[in-house]
Parts: sequence; C-alpha cells; structure tokens
Amino acid sequence: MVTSIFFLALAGTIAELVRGQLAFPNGSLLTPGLYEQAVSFHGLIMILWFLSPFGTAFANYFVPTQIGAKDMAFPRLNAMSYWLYVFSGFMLVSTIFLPGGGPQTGWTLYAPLTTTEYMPQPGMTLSVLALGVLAVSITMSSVNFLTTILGTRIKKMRWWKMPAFSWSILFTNFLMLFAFPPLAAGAILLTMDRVFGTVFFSSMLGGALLWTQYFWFFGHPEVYVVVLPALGAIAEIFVTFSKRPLFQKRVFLIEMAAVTVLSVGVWIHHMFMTGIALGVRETFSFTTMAISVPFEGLVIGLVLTLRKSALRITTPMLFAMGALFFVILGGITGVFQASIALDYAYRGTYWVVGHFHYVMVGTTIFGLVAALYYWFPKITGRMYNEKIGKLTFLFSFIGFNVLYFPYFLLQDMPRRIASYAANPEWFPLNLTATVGALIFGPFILISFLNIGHSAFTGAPCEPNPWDAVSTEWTGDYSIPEPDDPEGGIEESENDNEPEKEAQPPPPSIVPSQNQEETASYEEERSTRTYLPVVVAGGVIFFLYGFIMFAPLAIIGLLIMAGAVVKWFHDDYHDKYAEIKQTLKEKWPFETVGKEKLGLWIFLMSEIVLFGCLISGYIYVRLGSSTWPLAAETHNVVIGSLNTVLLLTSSLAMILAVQAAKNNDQLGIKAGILGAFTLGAMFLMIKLSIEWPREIINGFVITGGLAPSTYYMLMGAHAIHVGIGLGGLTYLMAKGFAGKFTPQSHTALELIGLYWAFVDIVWIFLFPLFYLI
Amino acid sequence: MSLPVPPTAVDYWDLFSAFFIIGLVAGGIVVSAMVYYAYVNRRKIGRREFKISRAHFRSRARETVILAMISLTILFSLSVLSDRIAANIQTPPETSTSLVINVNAFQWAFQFIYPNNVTVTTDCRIPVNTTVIFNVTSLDVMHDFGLPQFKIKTDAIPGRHNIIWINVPSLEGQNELTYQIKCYELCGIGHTFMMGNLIVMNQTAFDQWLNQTAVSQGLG
Repeated sequence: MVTSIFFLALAGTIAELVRGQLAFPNGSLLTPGLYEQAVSFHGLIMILWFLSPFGTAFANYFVPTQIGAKDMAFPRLNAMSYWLYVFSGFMLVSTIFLPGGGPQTGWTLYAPLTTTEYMPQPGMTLSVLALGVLAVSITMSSVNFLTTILGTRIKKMRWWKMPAFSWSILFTNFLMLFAFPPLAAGAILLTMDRVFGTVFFSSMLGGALLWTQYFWFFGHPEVYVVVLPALGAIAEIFVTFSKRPLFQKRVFLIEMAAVTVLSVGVWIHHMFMTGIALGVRETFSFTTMAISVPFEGLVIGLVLTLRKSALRITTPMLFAMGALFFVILGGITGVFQASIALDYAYRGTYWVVGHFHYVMVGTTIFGLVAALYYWFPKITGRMYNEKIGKLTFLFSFIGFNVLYFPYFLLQDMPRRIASYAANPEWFPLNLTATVGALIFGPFILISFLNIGHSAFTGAPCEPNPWDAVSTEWTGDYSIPEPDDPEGGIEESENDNEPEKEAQPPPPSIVPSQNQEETASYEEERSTRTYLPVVVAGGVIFFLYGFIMFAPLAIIGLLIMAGAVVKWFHDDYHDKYAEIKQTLKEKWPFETVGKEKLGLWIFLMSEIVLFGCLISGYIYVRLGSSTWPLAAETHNVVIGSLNTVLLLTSSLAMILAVQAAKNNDQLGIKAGILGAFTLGAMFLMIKLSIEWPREIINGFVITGGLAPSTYYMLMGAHAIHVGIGLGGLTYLMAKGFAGKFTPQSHTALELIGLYWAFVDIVWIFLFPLFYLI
Repeated sequence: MSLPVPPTAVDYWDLFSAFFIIGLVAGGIVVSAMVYYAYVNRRKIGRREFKISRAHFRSRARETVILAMISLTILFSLSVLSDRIAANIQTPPETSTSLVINVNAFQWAFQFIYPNNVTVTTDCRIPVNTTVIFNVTSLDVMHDFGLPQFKIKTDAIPGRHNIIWINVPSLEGQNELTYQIKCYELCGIGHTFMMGNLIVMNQTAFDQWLNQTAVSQGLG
C-alpha cells in the first residue's frame, strides 16, 4: 500500500506538471516530447500501478480477515506478485532516463505509433514489457484472491453473509482474470513486433485495429477493476456509519454481478469512431447504456441505506459520500458517451477526460481514501485526526470539482495537446482547472500525511471504535470469538510479509483441527522467504538485459533459474507441510485442494490468453486478402507426428497419476519418464527439424503476417511445453526418490493437469496451422 | 463575425439537451436524496438497531425491477434516437453534386485530394451549399480527423477508409468562413500542432482556386 501511494505521489506530481503546462495557452513548462511522456506516465502509473493495487492492498488485509481465513491462500505467490508489481513499476519509470525516453503514446499505447518505426527507443519496449510483467503479477494475485475467497472461507461464512467488500474483491478478481490476459496478449505481440520484427501492428492488413481491440477488451473491464473495490468499501462505510443494513444486500450483490458480467461486453464503445459496422456499434452502445442500469441500482441502494438511519458524519463517511456524488456525475456523463451520435463530438476531447476523471479519480480515490480513514484504526490501533480529516475532505472536494468540472465545458479541446495557441477561448477554463489542481493535490497529500503522522502519534483507540458490525471489526463469524486488535504497522499489510498478519486462529474455530492449525501456523512462519523477490528481480534483470545489454540478461536468467530451483528444492523437502494444508482447506470444495483450485483458476486465465492470441490470428487472417496455403508452408507429416507425441505424452502422465494413486512406484517412474521423453522429443522436432526447414524455405518470422502469427503461437506454445518439461524434471527427481505416495502426490496431479492443458492448446493449434 | 452553426452541430445540441435534461433530473433526484437523508438522519451518537425483514426485502425488490425497467426504456429510446443521428452522420446522401475529398492523415498534417487530383495540405477549401464527403485514411499511425464546430469526427486508420460528410453552411453575407480541423488522437510529438482549416468559399471563388491550383500543380 505504501508502494502504491508512492506511485500515486509520482503520478500526481506528473499530473500537476501537466496542469501547469496547460494553465496558459502557450505553456512552456515542458517540451511536446516531454509532455507526451508525462501524459503517458500519468495514465499508466495512475491506473495500473496505483488505483488497482491500492484496492488490492486493502483486499490483502481485509478479505482474509472478513471471511475468516488465516491468510491469503498462497502467501509466497502473494509475495511474488507484489515484487513483480514493484519492479515492473520501477522498470516503467526508469525508461524516462534512458536514451530516447519512455513512451510518448498515451496510456492507450495505440499501435502502430508504438511500433519501432515511430518509437524506436528501448524505453518503449521496456514499458511494454513492464506491462507484461504487471499482467503476470496481477494474474498471480487474482488466482490467489479467488482461491482464498472460494476455497478458504471459514465454514460459517456463507455466501450471502460475506461482507460487500469481499464480494467486490471477488468480482474484481474475476474481471482481472479475464481482462489482463488480453493485455498480456497485446504486450506479447507488440514485444515481438519490436524485438523480432513481426508485423502484427505495423502491417496495413488489419493490424492497427487489432491493438485497439486487445487494449479495450482489457481496458474497459479495467475501469470496473478499479471502481468495484472502491464501491465495496463505500458500502461497508455506509453500513457502519448509518447503523443500517445495506439496503437489499442481495439485490445489491446481484447488481454488482451484473455490472461485472456486462463490463466485458461493452469495449467497442471506445472504438465508435474506428469505422466498425454501425450495427455492431449500436449493439455495444446499447449494452453500454444497459450497464448503467445495475450501476444506478447500486447507487440507489447506497442512498436508500441512509434512509431512517442514525448517521454519524465522520471523515470516512464524508469521503464515501463524496465518492458517491462523483459516481453519479461520472456515471451520467458516461451515458452521454454511450450515444454514438454524441460520441462523434466527444471522441478524444476533454469531455471524455472529465468523465473518466470523475469516475476513476472521484470515485476511486475518494472511495479508497475513505477506506483508508475507515480501516485506519483497525490497521494501527490508533485514531487519525478527525478535524484535519474533515478539513481535507472539504478542500479536496471543492478542489476536485474546480479541477474537473471545467473539462465538461472544454468539449472541443483535444486530449494530450501540449498547448492551444489557436484557441485562446480555452484559457480561462484551463486556468480554473489548474487552480483546482493546486487545491486538490496538496489536500490529498495532507490526507495521507494525516494518516502517516497518526500512525505513530495518534491516540490509541478501542478495537472497534466505529461500533461496526462487520466481521473484520468484530471478529465474530457468528460463533463466539475474542476480538483481536491487530498491532501490525501499515507496511505489514504489504504482500511482502503476509505472514506477519497471520494470527493463531482462536481456539473456538473448528476445535478438532485446532492443534494442527496452530502447528501449521508455526510452519508457515518458517515459509517466510526471500525467494520471490529474487525471482522477480531476476525477471527484471533478464528483461533489461534482453533489450539493453545482453550479459545482464544472462545474469538475470541465472538468478531467476537459481531461485526457482531453490523454490522447488524447498518444496521437495517440505512435503509434509503441504499434506497438512490440503487436508485442512477442504471445507467449501470438498474434493478439491486449494492448490488444485488455484491451478484451475490459473488455467482459466491461460485459456483466455491463448483465446486472445488465437483470435488475433484468426482476425488478421480473415482481414488479409491472401494467405499462404497450409500445405505450402508447413509439413503435415511432422505436425501429425508431433500431435501423436504430445498426446501420448499426456497419456503417460495420466498413467503416472493413476500409478501414484495405487502406490505403484515403477508406474510413476515410467509414466513421468515417458511423458518427459515424448514432450522433449516434441520440442526437439519443433526446434531442430521443423523450424530450420521452414526458415530455409523462406518462411521467416519477419516475412509478413502468416509467419508472424505462426511463430508467435507456436513459440508461446513451445514456451509452455518448456515450462511443462521443467515441471516434469522436478517430478522425475522426486519420483525417482520415491516420494510420491497415494496420500501425497499433489505436485504430480498439478503438473499433470498443466501438461494436459498444454496438449489441449496444441489440439487447437494443429488444425489451425497445418490443416486449414 | 460569427460562424454559422452547421446542421450537424444543431443536431448535436438537440440530442445533448435531451440527455442533459434526463441526466439532470435523474442525478438531481439521487443527489438530493442522499444529501436529504444524510441531513435529517445525522446524529452525534447512533444506537439504532439493525433490522432485516424479508417482507420488506421482497416488496422493495419489485420496486427495483420496475425502476430498472423504466430506466432501461428511457435508455433504449435515447439509444435509438442517437443511432438514427449516427447513421445519418456516416451515410452520405445520394446526390450527384456532392464533392468527394480524400483525406490522408500523416505525421503531422492532413492532406486533401480533390477529384481532379489537386492535392493540398492543412487548408481544405470547399464551396458553399454543397455536400462534401470526406473519405479519411492514414498514411502512418492512427489519427483522428475532427471538425469540432461541426461536432463530428472520424478516426484515420492506416489501411482503412472511414467516411463522414457535411452539408456546407451558406456564407450568410460573409466573404469566407473558416472552421477548424484538428487531430483528436495522440499521434506522436507533433500531435499538438496537427491542425488545419476548413475554408468555405462561394462557388465561383472555389472553382477559380481549384483551377489555378490544378494548373500550378501541372494537372492542367
């Protein structure tokens, strides 16, 4: 959380620079080049490195507490995800210091502006890679959250009883799981374009629109990823301070679910001006309007919660009400943009900027600052300064409106321009906005200073100062349980040391397992490890080196490999810890252990990723007038042979799992060895026979869209096969040591599952490339 | 000297007003409800008990559905209204007198190609009282060809052609009218300065200009 506030400060400063530049028609604070970098960084950092992680930071602390789980389902994965997030952020920011600077493309990174032809600097490539790393980090974290919420809720925490905030995080993470793979797909293709000379986005044959499709398929759900946690927090705050139950909680949650589902079906409204068929746009215009109906329901539900209430106006309540006001204004202006006809006027103007700042800044920052004030006593056991709190609300509310309301009146001003000498009539409104920014920025900063200062000097308070009824305050999951004020300092909320928050579960929870839980808590303490940070560091080294300086890449790769081996090595010896965990986490999903659940969720995101890559291939293929025949470019015999190899390998794996269940050690060894050999043969044939053959025939990666898509999809699959082989190597080591028993073969099952997935992907790829 | 408001802008403001009034009423009700409830229910210390009654829940659920239906109907009609206007913006009328101009956006200007192959950049001249069709594409990265005073624009995408059209307003006693052309998609560091003029002239002046330019460009 501290990290995300740091990113906020950074991006906020950049925003003030931007406003400073635009205060006068001939701003000279920044050169156009620097200005465009500033808007790009501001957008990227604010949305991706501040707003979403800020909500997630709260979730990391309060979701487990609210649902009665001991901690996140996978603490180490959590740490890994955190470090990847931190390092990717630094990687992005560092590009500004590299020769040529960072991206000058806005946060939407529209291709082909982002291709090497127009943005040759390495900073651009690194930024795209940073996005990719972030996507990986977010996927890890959503796997973790979903497993935590689905798999490790306390028995008594029934679905309808789960607090609104945890619900909102559940929806958010489902969205992340679907939204980030398209971004990753886009980043993969763009990186390949920039590094290997493929032509996905630079070719005229439909490539330019491909990026906007990918980006907005990610980008629109991302808005809800940002807003939903804030709404969840607002709901908690409204309930606590109004002393009323959430108005029709079930309807509220159903509406939230509706928003979640609809949000993946509205992205075309960002592309109304791209010349897509009118019928398609009309459909999306209507779905966009339709999404405002459940949203309106959410707002009305919150407002009606205040009816007949006994309302205490505290700082968090004020911020929450402010946020609700901004949802209303931002939401209504959003309906304007849903209209295609009005969008002909709004596309690319400050009206749009005004709208999304009301939604993203207004709702999310006010909502999450409210959450920060609200949960502050819980996190630190101290009270913030109420007077300063209320004062900061007043001024940031006024400042916010002075800053963003003029944007609605600047309907014709284009976004991302560094000066506007041709239109002096825009000057007064821009000056007003800059004045607003000078009020809003400092007062938000004062808010954080208030919090930071009170964390050390605030008056100690009781465990439940708001007299709240939700579980994270009372610790009452409908069974008696002592209150537990947590003494952790704010940083401990970060994912890097999640173990600190884990508390010994009170004796009353499921008494029969009590002993074991306490024991495994001790064990978990011992799982605190530096490995995730090393792996993440290795990844970043590798990527830097990859782009800038090759030896660095090798060092990075070595660090990464070393740490991963060590990680598995730990697991190799710690097998006993795993057994207990699988036994323990059984309640909601009787037969599925949390590891398996996590892997299934992860595979879901992989399916979306491959889905995106494959549909990208289909898209460019359908958009091209000519496409080389499969028979001319690929050898069906080799392809078929590989198909057989991979399928047999899967079969061997299944046999190994069966053998483990029957405690047939020889079967296990044979199965794993068979699977490994066949998989390795597949990869060998691919890399040493098939590809060289094709390259000699002139089918090279830079040779147009057909080879671009071929090597991209085959490469992605081959990397998955490679990872699978790595997993199989580990299994071999373990299998030959005879460590798999009928009770303990989770690793075998998991890697087997993954291996099966890799095969299934091939079953789709084979006909797409070799037969059609 | 004020510029005549083009017909597309008139349509825009009509539609905007419809959205604005509905939005103002809906937003006004919700915001005032929030402020009102917050004001009348404010307490120093609150001790009211939580009560959940299922009967209460059910009756409210019905109202929610009715409310959702009403808003859906309103939104649907707004959407139909907008779609009709949108269809109009992008479907040019079938007249033989319309002037088709190919617009090529590039880093960082707009290029206009007239039917007789006369090619100019930045300033696009058009005659009064005609229908002008812009056939927009890009030569390099994504741009957006925008006519802010007309309240219409379209993306300029490499490899694709997008069409918008305008009814050119009459001069209303003035010699020339100059409307702005701007790029509305970030297209590199020159984006800020990527603009042009749409200059409306009377028919004779336009014909004269077109012929002169044709001659000077060797198109005879």
